[in-house]
Amino acid sequence: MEVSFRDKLLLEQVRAMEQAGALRLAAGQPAAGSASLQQRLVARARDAVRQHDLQGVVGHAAAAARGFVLLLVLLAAGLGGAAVYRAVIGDGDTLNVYWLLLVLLGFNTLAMALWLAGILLLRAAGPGSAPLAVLWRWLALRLLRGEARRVAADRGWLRVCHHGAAGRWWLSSLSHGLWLTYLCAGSVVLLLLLMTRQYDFVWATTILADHTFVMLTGALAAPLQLLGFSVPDLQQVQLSRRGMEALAAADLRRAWASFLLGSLLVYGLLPRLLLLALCQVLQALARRRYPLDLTLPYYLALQRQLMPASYDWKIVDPDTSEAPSPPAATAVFARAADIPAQALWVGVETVQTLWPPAAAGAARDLGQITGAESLAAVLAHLDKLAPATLVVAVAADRLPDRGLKRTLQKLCAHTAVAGSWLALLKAPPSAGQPAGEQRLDAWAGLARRCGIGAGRVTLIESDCDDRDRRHG
Amino acid sequence: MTATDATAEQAPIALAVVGHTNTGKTSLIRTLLRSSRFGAVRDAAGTTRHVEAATLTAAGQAVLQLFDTPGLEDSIALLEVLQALRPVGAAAGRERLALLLQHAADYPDFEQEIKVVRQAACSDALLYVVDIREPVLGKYRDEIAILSMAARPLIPVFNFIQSDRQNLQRWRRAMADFNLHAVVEFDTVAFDFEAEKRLYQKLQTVLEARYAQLQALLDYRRQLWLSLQRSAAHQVAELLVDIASYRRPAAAGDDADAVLEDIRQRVREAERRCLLQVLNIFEFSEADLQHHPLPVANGRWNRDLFAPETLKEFGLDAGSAAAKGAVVGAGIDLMVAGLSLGTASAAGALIGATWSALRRFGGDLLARVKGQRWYCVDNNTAALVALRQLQLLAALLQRGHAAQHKIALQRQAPPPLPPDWPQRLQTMRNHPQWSRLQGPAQDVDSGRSAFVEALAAWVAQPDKEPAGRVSP
Repeated sequence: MEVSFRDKLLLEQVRAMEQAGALRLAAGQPAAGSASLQQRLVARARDAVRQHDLQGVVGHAAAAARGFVLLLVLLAAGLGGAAVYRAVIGDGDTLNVYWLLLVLLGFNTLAMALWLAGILLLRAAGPGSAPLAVLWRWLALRLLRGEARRVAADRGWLRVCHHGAAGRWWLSSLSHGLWLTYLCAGSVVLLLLLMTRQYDFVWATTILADHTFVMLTGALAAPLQLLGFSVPDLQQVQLSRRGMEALAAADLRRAWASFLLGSLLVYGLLPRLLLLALCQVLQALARRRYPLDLTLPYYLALQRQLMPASYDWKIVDPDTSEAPSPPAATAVFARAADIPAQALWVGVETVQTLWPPAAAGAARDLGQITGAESLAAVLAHLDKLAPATLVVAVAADRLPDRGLKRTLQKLCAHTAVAGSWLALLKAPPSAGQPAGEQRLDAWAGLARRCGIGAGRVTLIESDCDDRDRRHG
Repeated sequence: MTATDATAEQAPIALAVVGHTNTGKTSLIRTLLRSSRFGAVRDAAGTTRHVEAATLTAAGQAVLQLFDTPGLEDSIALLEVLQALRPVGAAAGRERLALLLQHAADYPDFEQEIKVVRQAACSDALLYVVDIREPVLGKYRDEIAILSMAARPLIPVFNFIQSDRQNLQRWRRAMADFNLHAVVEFDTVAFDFEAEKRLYQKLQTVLEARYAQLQALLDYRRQLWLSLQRSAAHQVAELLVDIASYRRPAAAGDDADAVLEDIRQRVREAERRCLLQVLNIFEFSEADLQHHPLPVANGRWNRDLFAPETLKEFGLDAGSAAAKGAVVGAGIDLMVAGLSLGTASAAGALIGATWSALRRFGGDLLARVKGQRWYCVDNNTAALVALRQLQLLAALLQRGHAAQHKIALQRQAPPPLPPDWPQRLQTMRNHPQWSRLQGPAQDVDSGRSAFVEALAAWVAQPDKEPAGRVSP
């Protein structure tokens, strides 16, 4: 289940604090239930905030940013008002309409174009709001000083809120908001001035043709007229050309004032307002889609704590008997040549590659025991034979188990067996097979338990490469 | 009640892992648990003497309870005992087993076997682990005969499948004789996620009623496994960026040897940190490493990055300045720096087209004019780091938490670097602000994170086609 952006922000802040070593939390307890990892992480982070009293720490960066934004807004308002005031007051009683428009809207439009280019071409709020970004970076550096825990939390906040898509739209929103403030303040000051003073509006040009201004005014005024602003008509525009001083009619002044305010509203405030709203929406979207990277080693480790892939390791049926003692020290083997020549040979679970060994002649080969039936057959066969020495051959790299021990005991205890040997057949070492010195010791131990003396255990290394690799 | 509710409320599936002694039952469970801390593993009979349990979870829900059982050792005798039992009424296997369990105290020799039988009787399914290096012996057939009496689904799991395909065929035929056709090949030493997936899928076929539960487990574990892979690839990508983009201006009064040694130390340290992170991601403990054919010990590579032999081992040129590990770059090729903008965006990564990159470009120009020289990590070292990390990842993906002895994997020549490595290297070289070798970057470059993202994808899935080795 998805968690909200605020919660993700909290998680990232706690992560920043923990990774910076500024916050140490006890290992999380795995809890049963269907809560998702993200929900469990959030619960853990909230607990941490409660226990360590971190409310102020995690909220610090946001509060600082709010203060900074407020400062910028006041600054923008002051600048906007001052710019209009200077432009209007400075000219005496006559206002150059187009110069005033340029002052009020020119920079704004240029900044907007740069922002748009940045967003479209570079996918960054980029050069358009570069001074803002520089200012912000300065503040961020200011933020990242002081108490380690707070700095880490602030760093986490910056990473989440001011990088990637969310950061892009945040910076864009800030830029649009500030220009909007600038224009609003300018409009208010202009309105106040126009309300309390009387100005004559003129336009003038030295190198442009007159009709350029006439046409421009017509083009700019058309949308304003649609919105119900009164604008100067063609004749009035021509009358306002500097040097044609037959003007000063009250309705002409009002028409120009209305045109000016309307232009400010439609070409300045309105686009900024729309862009601000758009960026706010995009920022909200980007925040909602903020990708919490749960594959970070930090989160993987937490996942192991909070949602272990396995748990509840326990012994359910304990062994009460004594554990078997490990095989005694290294076994000493007799020479294979010491085996009596007339001995009978039987193989127990050896592989076909090792059986029969060269020492066992066909006449004295009782065959292989591979299971209950073959054991019974060998025992029945022994019944018919005169007592003789029996050599039990096993594969050295097989592990002796209790079943083998029982088989061996049965064979050794048979009446027809007058003394028994254990021959360990060793295949040439091959890859993948453990060499197993331990196994030889285990076999020697087994022989001892079955009553076969140490002098009658022998190791026969076979070099049966040429044999057919058929198996039992 | 919806299907998910039903799944949530179902008790975990009880799965008993049974088999002859020393076939790798505990190893199988360790591999499924991704932990070498479960139980005891030793190359000897009867290492596990208790019945031990662990529970696998999916999204916090207990799904599968695994029971590790002692090995069966004397199945031949036990089968004889069971066949001699005369239960009242129906003489089916289940009744025989019940009678045996009732009179367990009468059979002290079979204490271990009785534990297995008891656990099998109360499990939902049995995994019968087979060491396929063994011949198909009578005792194994008897084991299956005994386990079949429990009337539970029995899935043979073939372990050590790397040894011999012939053995595998023999075991498959033997299992078919028992009408066991749903078998799993699962090497506990060298294993990949596919094998684990098939194991759960086989369980799904024999435990139809638990299909949804097992699917949830399978999905969860797959997602977990993928996030581990992503996480590790990300770490490696970060390391490569940090190393390859590192650049330090050379001042006139520098002690070149001291600077080079400092750079080497930083590179070593970064590589070591990454190694630890990656091992940690895959939960590889020091104990696991001892049995793993990785040239890693105590969290370090056995061979120093800057030793000439290391270069040779990876087929890189060990001559000339290369072996020194760092070179004084002869300025930065501005043409290439410019071009990389184009190629990078073509590659889908947003590279360098940020404000800071534009600023940096100016810096390069200035450095060029001033004849500035740089220290950076040379191509060979960067290539070597990449190769070593790729090899490490490949080895860890073929993980086994169960290896008992160092398996003699054929020493393969490390794979060559993909053909697009030089372009990537060039891009990194042109962004010295990306490196964190000198300390964490103050502001996060969005180009860096995009490039790391793309590089991580490349690390996780390096070009598989056998392109000619690229000389770096």
